[in-house]
Order: sequence, then C-alpha cells, then structure tokens
Amino acid sequence: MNTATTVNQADNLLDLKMVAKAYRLEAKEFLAVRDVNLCIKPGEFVCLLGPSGCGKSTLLRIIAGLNSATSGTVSYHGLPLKGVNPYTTIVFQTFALYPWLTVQENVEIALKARGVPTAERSQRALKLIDIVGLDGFESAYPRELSGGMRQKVGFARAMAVEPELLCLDEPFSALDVLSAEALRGELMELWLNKKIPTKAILMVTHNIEEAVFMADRIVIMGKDPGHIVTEIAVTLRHPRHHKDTAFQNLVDKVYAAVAGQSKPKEEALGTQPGQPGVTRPLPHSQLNALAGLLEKLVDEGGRVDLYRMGRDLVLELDDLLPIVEAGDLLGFTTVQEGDLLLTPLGRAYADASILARKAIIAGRVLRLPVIAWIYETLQRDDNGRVARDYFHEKLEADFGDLTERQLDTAISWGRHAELFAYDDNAGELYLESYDGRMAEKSFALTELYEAWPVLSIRERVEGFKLLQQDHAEDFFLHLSARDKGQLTLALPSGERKLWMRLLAPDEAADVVQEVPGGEREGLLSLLDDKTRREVKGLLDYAEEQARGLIKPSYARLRPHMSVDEAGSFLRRDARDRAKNVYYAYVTDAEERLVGVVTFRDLLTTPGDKTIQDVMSTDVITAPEHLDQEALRQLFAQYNLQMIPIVDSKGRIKAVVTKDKIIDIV
Amino acid sequence: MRQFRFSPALPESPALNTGDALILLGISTILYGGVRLAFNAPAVIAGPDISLSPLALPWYALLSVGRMAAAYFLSLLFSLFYGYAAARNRTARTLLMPLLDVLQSVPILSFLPVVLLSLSAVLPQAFAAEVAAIMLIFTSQAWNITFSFYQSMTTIPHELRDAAAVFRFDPWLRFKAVELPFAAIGLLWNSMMSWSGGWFFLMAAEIFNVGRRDFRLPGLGSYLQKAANEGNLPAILFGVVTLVVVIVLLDQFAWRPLIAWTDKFKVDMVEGDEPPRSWFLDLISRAWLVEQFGARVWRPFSEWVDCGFQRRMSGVIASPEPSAEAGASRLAIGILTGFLLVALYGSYRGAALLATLPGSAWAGLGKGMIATFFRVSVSLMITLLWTIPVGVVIGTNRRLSIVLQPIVQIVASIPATALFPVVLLALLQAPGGLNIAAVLLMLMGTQWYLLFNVIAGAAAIPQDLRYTTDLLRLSSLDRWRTLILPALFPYIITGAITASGGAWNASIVAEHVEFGGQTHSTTGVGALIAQATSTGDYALLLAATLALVITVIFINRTFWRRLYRLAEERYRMD
Repeated sequence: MNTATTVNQADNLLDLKMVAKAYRLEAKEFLAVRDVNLCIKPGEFVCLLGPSGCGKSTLLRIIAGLNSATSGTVSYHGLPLKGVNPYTTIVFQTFALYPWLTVQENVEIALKARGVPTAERSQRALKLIDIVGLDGFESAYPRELSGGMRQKVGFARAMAVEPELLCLDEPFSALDVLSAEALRGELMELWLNKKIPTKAILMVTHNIEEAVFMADRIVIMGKDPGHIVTEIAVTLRHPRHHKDTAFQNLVDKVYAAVAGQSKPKEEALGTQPGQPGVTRPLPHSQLNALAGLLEKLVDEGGRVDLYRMGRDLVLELDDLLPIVEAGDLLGFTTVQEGDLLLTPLGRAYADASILARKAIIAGRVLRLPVIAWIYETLQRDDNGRVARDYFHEKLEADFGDLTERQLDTAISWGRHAELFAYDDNAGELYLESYDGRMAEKSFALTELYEAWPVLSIRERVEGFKLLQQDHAEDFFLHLSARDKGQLTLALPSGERKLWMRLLAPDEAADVVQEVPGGEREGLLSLLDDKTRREVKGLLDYAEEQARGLIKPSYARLRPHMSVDEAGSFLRRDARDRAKNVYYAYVTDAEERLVGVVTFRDLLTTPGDKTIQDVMSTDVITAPEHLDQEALRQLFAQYNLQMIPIVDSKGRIKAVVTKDKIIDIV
Repeated sequence: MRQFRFSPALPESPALNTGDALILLGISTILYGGVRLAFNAPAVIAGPDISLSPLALPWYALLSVGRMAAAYFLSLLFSLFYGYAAARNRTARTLLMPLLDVLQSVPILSFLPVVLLSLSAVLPQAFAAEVAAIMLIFTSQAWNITFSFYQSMTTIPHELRDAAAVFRFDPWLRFKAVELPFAAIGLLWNSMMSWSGGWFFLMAAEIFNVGRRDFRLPGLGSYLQKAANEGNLPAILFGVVTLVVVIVLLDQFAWRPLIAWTDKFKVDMVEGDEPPRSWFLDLISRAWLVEQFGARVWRPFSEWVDCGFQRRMSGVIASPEPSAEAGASRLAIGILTGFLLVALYGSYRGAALLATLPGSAWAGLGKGMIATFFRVSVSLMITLLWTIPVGVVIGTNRRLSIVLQPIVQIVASIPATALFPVVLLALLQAPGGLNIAAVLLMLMGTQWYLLFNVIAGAAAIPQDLRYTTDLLRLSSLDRWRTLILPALFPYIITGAITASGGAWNASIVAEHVEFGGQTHSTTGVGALIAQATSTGDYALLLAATLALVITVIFINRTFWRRLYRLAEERYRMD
C-alpha cells in the first residue's frame, strides 16, 4: 500500500482491514477467508480473481453487506458498515431477475424500493433500458430474452439506483462467449466515458483475460482458507487488445500468480485426518482428466505455458487448476512460473498401458493422506467394509460443509486406482480387492513399476525377485519386449526357462529379437519344441521383412485347425501383433499360402469344422517387388483391404494394406 | 397431467420421536377437551328438512360451495401466516414443522363426531353443525397448502433473495414481489388439491347422522342422501348432475383461468411448449371494464398500500437469512412450557376418563381396529391391481390419454361421500352389503389419487429408456421389472400414502349408516366411533378416536415414510 492512501484514508470508498469470515459447524469453526486487507479508491476498477473456493464471492457479499465479517473492520467512506451497504448494488452471475416482472418492472422495482415516485420511476427506468440497448423490450419478460440481454437488464437495474460502488459477481460467466465479449465492451464504454455515475467497480471473476481486459488492479486470491496472494496493477491503455504482446505477458504473469508454485511435498500432502497438522483437501478433479492433461503435456514436449494450455483445452481456470493440482500432488507434474512441467514419473505414466497406469495411480494416490487413511481404515475392518457416515463424520472436523464433496472425490480416486469403491445401496465403502492382502502386494508392484525406468539392471533384478510369484508373472508380462529380454538374461540361467515359457510364441519372438545376437540361440533353446518352431517361423519373417510399406504382421492359420482353435489362436495373435486383421491367411507346413478366410466365415461356421472347409483357395496375391502404382490398381480392382505378398515359391512374405497404399499415393 | 408432490422435510428418524409424543399429548388434550364439552351436548338433535325439489338445488349448491369457500379462505390465511412464520423464524420452525407433519397424517374425519358434539354443547344447533363442517374442511385443506407455501419460502433461489436485500426491499415489498409470486404456482396446485379433498369432507359433514342426533346440514350432500334414502332416482340424477356442473363451473371459471394466469410465475427461464390457456381468462383480460379497473382502482390502491408499508417499515431491510432472535426463543420456551403443562394435565384427565372403560370395550376396539385395517388394506390392494396397468396404458399412450384424461378427471372429481348413499341403495340388500359398500367407498375415495399418479409416472418415463428396453428385446415381465415398476415406484408410493389416508378417513362414514330409517353397522373402528357418538359413550369415543389417530400416524411413520424415503433416494429419475 502506498503512502498516499494511508495519509488520506477517508478518500477511500471502501476499506477492509484484517477481515475474516468464519462459519460454524457443530462447535468447530471453519475459515472462509482470513487476513483480508483491501481498499478501493474512487475511479478504480478492481478485480478479485482466484480459483473457486478462494472466498472471492464471500468477500463481495461482505462488501455489499449481505454477510457480516466475523472479525476485522469493513468501513465505507471511513464509517463502519452495518447491514446491507446502501452505496452498492450487485450484478449477479445468474442475473437474479424476477421472472414474473417485465424488463421495465424489474428495473422499476429497484427504484420503487428506494421510494422514487411512480412517474419518475418509469422515466428513469426507460432511460436506462435505452442506455443498455434494450429499447423496445420494456414489456418483455426475462424468459423471452437471451442470456446477454438478461444480463443487460441486470446492469440496468443495478445502475438505476446509481450506486457509488458497483459490484459485479462473475457477471459474464453464464453468457456465451460472444455475448460476454460484447457486453464487456459495452460496460467498458459506459464506464470509461463516465456515462454512469458509478465511482468504482469491483468485479469478481475467475477469468484471467477478462480481468486483464477490464481492471485497473487485479487482486489475486488463494484458497484454504481464502486470502489475498498479491495485487497486480494493470496500466495498459484502453482499449486493450487480447493479441497485444504486453497484454499476453500480463495474462501470463497473472496466471503464474494464480497457479502459484509447487509446494514442498510435506506441506502439499498434509497429514491424515485426526492427526496433528493440516489435512489438505483433495482437488475436485477426475483422474481421467489428469491422464488427458499428461498426454497433452507429452505432445507439447513436457513443458507448457499454463495459460496457453487452458486456452488450447478450452478449460476455465476453475476447471484447469484442480487438475493441475492433482498432477502436482501425485508427482506427475510441477508448476514453475506459470509453466506446467512433466516429471519423469508423469512421462512414465503417460506412456504406460491402461493396466500399468492403474498400478501406478494406485501407488501414487496412496501417498495422499486422506486416501491412505480411508484405505487403512478399510483394511482394519474384518470385512473391508465401513459405512460412509463414519468417514463423513471424521472428515467433517477438517472439511466442514465441503466434506461431502471431499468424500466423493476420494471415492472417485479410490475407484480409479481400484483401491476401494462405494456401495450406494449399503452406504458403505469397501476394499476393491476381495482379498485384503492383494492390494498390499500390488503396492510393492507399483512401486517397482514407478521406479523401473531409473533402476540399474542389478536393482531391477533385486526388485523383481522381491515380488510374489503371481505378481511377478503379471509384472513380467507387462514389461516391454526389450525389458523382458534384459531381465531374463540378467536372471540366473536356471530361472530363465520359467519366464521364457510364460510367453506366447509371438511375444517370445519379440523378446528374442531384442537380445544381442549371441544370446538368441540360448533363449530359443529354453522354449518347448512346439513353441520354438513357431517362434523360429516368426523370426524368419521378421528377418526377411520388407521395409516401409510392407507389414510383417498378419493373421495366419493352418488348414487342419478347427474353426474353434483358429478363433483362440487369432485372439492371441491379434492382440498386439497382427495389426491388420481383415482376413486370416492359411499357410501349410512350408509356409506356402494355400487359402484365405474372412472373419465373417469364421464367425458363421460351426466350431468343429476345419479351416480347410471354410477357406477360399482363390487368393489375390501380389508378387514381390511389385511397384506401388500396380499395387494400388490391384486394390482398386478387387476392392480388397489387404493383399499378401508372396515369393516365387508361393510363401507369404508379408502383407500390404490398402490404407498404407492410399496414404502414400 | 401435471404432477404435484409435496415432500415435507423428513425428520431423520422415521419412527415416533419425543416431539411427536408431545404433539400426540397435545392432540389427546384437545380431544379430551372436546369430549368433556360433549358431556353437555343435547341428547336429541333435530336435523334440517331437506327438500327434494330440483328448484332447491341451486340454493343447496350455493350453501355447499359457500362452506367450501369459507373454509378455503381460512386455510389460505392460515397457510400464509403459518408458513411465513415457520420459514422466517428458526425457532418457530423447530416447533411448527413437526406439528404440521403430525397434523397432516391425522385422519381428520375421526375428529368430526367430537367436534360436532362439543360445538353443539356450546353453540345453537344449526350453527354448531355449520361451524363444525367448516372446521372439518379447514383441517382437511390447510396442511398441504401450508407445506407448499413453506417449501416455496425456503426454496426461493438465494440470488433472488440477495437481490431483494441489495436493492433494499422492505419486508412487505419482498413478500409481494418475491415470495408470494414464487409461491403462487405451488399454492394454486395445492389449493386445487385441497378443494377436491374438501368436497369429500364436506359431503361427509353434511350427511352425518347418528341415532337421535342428526347433524345434517342443508346442502348437496344431504340432498343426495335423502334422495337415495327415499329411492328417488330422478332426484339422485338431479343431485349428481348439479354436483358435476358445480365442479365443472369451478374448474372453468376459477381454476383454469388461475392456472393460465399463474404460468407467468414459473421460475424456469425457458418458454414452455404449451403454456396453459383459459378462454375465460383471455376473455376477461381483454375486457374494457377489467382494464379500467386495473388502471384506475387496483394499481393506485396497490401503490398506496406499498407506500404505506414503506413509510412504516422505512429502514427495515429484509435480510436474506431467516432470523432466530434470543428473545423469540425465550418466548417460544415459555409457550412450550405452558403447552406442555396443559397437555400433561389434559392427558392425565383423558387417561382418567379412559380408565373408566371396561376391558371388554378395549377388546372390541382392538377387533374394530383390525377389521378396519383389513378393509383399508383390501381397498388399497384392489386399487393397486387395477390402477397400475390402466394408468400405464393411459400414461404411455398419448392419443388415449388425450381422450381419457378429461373423462377420468370429471369422474374422479365427484366426491365419493356424495355417491355413498347411492351405493348403499344398490348394495345394502346384498349379503355382506355394508362390508362391500364400505370397501367400495374407500375405493371410490382413494383410487383416483393412485391412478393419476401412475399416469403421471408412466408419462414421465423417458423416451430413450423405453427405446432402450425395446432394443434389448426384454420380455414383458422383465420390462415391468426393470423399467416400468421402478420408474413408477415413487409415484405409486406418493399416491398410496394419500390413498391409505383417505381410506382410513372413509371408515368413519362407511362403517355405520342410517339408511331408509334403519341403522346398519359393521365391525370397525369407524362404527365404534359412530355408535359412541350416538349413545353418548364418551370414554369409548375418546378411546376409539385416539386409537385411530395413533395407529394411522404409526403406520405412516414406520411403513409409508420408509418407502417414501426409498423412493426418493433410489428410484428418482432426475
């Protein structure tokens, strides 16, 4: 605060000194805002900006006299404020028009309440309706108007009583983008050209660009409990333009101030409910949304401006910040100077498969005291079921009337991580795994998974050996082929066989390919005879695979298989190997192409028939070294999705798909 | 058809609590006071002479409507004051809402004999019956209107209240411009419901006649009763037609215009597809006379009233929050203590009176309760059996519902008690006649609630769910199990609660009748009450009335309320 204001206190319209607002819930006090010092001078346009739950609307209500402060002083023109502030009016987010009154009556009633005589009332109302540009709509009812027009009535009504301080409670956030933009411009025109007798405007918003566009001063608030973080003066000249560099820089600066910095882990996480210290609430966001954010972050190269992120994702500050906070708490992201950064763990998560993600998430959310406390409480129960009311009661001491939402978020996260879930019928939370110990094991599993990318080979082997048998199998199967190979080779040779034989032939082939040439034979010898033959076959293709267009993967059957066997074989084969499964090709023992089967045939044929009975022997094939144009013609001519490439001996070498051809053409 | 349900704020524990016990003590005190007064009631009360001439019908109709109107305006006034007090003052709320909750589940008709007897002891005969009828109708009409107003008052969107405070409305202006308009639609629908319920009680009051005490009143009800009594078929026809005409006229000239007019008070900010219309409203709103009246009389008058209030209340800004001053609560504690003392004394005296009752009388009372309970259950079963399939057919078939709804509504609007004498004429000769007639009266009085609710529920099943069920090719049994019954459940429960309340009420007039100069009676608590009234057995009258009240409240609390809660929590569509 500069010296001029302290010398000349009475010049301030409004003065808030150490204002706090608390509410009671069963003998416990919860702070909505604390330590708020704020003054508003004549001629100022001030914005209160902050994420939802930071108490900015509470503050506005205190200033308007709708609520009283629990402590501190609120003075207007230097005099303490008692009751509803006679010098202010509010323009409400939801308009707060009386639906049963016409436009004119809605404006007039504000004048009537102040005792303005009938004739003057209607004259003033009509003039204001004219000023806001609603001429001709005097006798319309609010429900006949668009949102933007309704808010104009809201403005007309507020201006009718000529308030010194005009309070705007997110007046544009319920409007569509274009109406909001237009109305902002019109308000600024009235305000800047002094067409209204208002001396100062105080606007609550969570829209940063809007604040920078309109305000002279932005007061930024933070939450838990609501407090003023900082003030930023806006000295840009009007009219301001969103595309100006100075404008953009300021928006960025405000964004950085609102989003803050990542806090130290202990402070950010807080303590468990019932323990000494502060229990931090969970941000109200869905973990699905976090996954989306991380993927976006990976696309952006791991670092992105929060402001740009919000704009690109069309997310309001109120929607974006909780997701960012969740990412921060779980260790997937950090915030630095208005930028969002991806951590190595976050990258591992974004790259992981769905199952692996669940495992990672389970480990991460268990670090959060609230989740861990719920989880541990459930584990202590013999049946792993505890009434929701129990948690509600305990959490209420920390979260007050936000408890219900906290619990909902905790349940949503617990469900997502498959730790615990909620049975609405019984009103109970229950452990997700039927066997109480399962989750504990998966905890170790996820820790290993989290740490995996940064472990040395020796550490990996040690961690892997610590896993229980069934978990180890799961874990092993989820590793990449490269990691599988590395791990297998690092294990004592006696154990290798066990792990290699876990693998399906195609997986085994992938693993063998990933190990150094000298080790391949050794690994192959570990397999049983049948699998080894198949793996070898697969490896032959892999070695001979043509580059570029030609895909090494296709669905392959044998003529003597039954349709049922073919089905299960294809299911396994199609999982990750054969990406293009339009048809299955039938090959004999020498890998010569003898026929083709469509999936329709497979689905409609009784399971005990053999492939031989179903297949069509009339296969359109392409010779090796056929050029692209010829291939394209072949596709067009037969209207096929996929064509096999065969060598001179009729052995299928690869397949080429139509989309690949079209891509290139 | 529009659905109106009032869901009172349900107390946490569904069974009876101390507050309820207190209220029950209060009710027993009042009953005891009534019975005590009744000691002095004349033993012979001569009824009025009812003329069966069709020319007398307009006069009788006017008398009946007059009683209804008087009671209704009392109810409305009561509701506004009571609801306002309960909503604006927290201390008052803790007292008034539980009281209302008990009152609305009390079988009102069971009070009729006590009220009639006690009033006839202190008032001139004709006047006593008149006042008793109005009181009875009042008690049948007031509670749901009050609930509706209270609910509106507490659910006004808070930004509308905030705006009223920010723009410095005084309490009168807030009431006139915010609270009353917001409550208008609820008030109207509940008023209509109260009127149709009121007819039932009016007719019952007009024909109440036990032994040598004839409490009948000149009106449509007694006309129909006398006509049936004498087997005068043309007179019965005249009476029924007059009744239907009165109800249709009221609908066309009062309710429809009001519905159309109150449409502007709805809060949702979208234009409805088909706003309700009324030819009568269109006609009068265009009339020159009405326009002139509005401009020259009504507007200046209302301006004058507003200004008057503004001067008196200058500086009082209506706060958006309800108040709970310490002084008020001290006053409330005082009132409560006084009430408690009186209630304790009254209950003590009542208990003393009950102690004079021999054991055999108690046994008879138990038997009567069981018999009536059985009748109520049977009538509810029959109602459920026919209304659910019929209601679903009407509700899901748009064309059928357009044709059938008005017919059903008119048939339903004829109060069952008015037709009861006609039913008796037809059934009394049959074996078990009165038993069947009693169940039939209960049916006639209650089935419509359920039918309308089922129709509304069936019509409210979302189209996409119906399509999905079609696509899944569910068998019709599965379709009922997975879609229709769960979707209807809240509606069935709402209807059934009202229906069972109505059936208990009907037992008072159904189980004991004087017909064709003979007294017919069957086993049941209603018959016991009537007999006690006729013979002046005041201890039995008190015992039977109390037993009925307590039983019905208990059933409501333990059975219906649980189902209602289940319906609200599990089976809501929105």
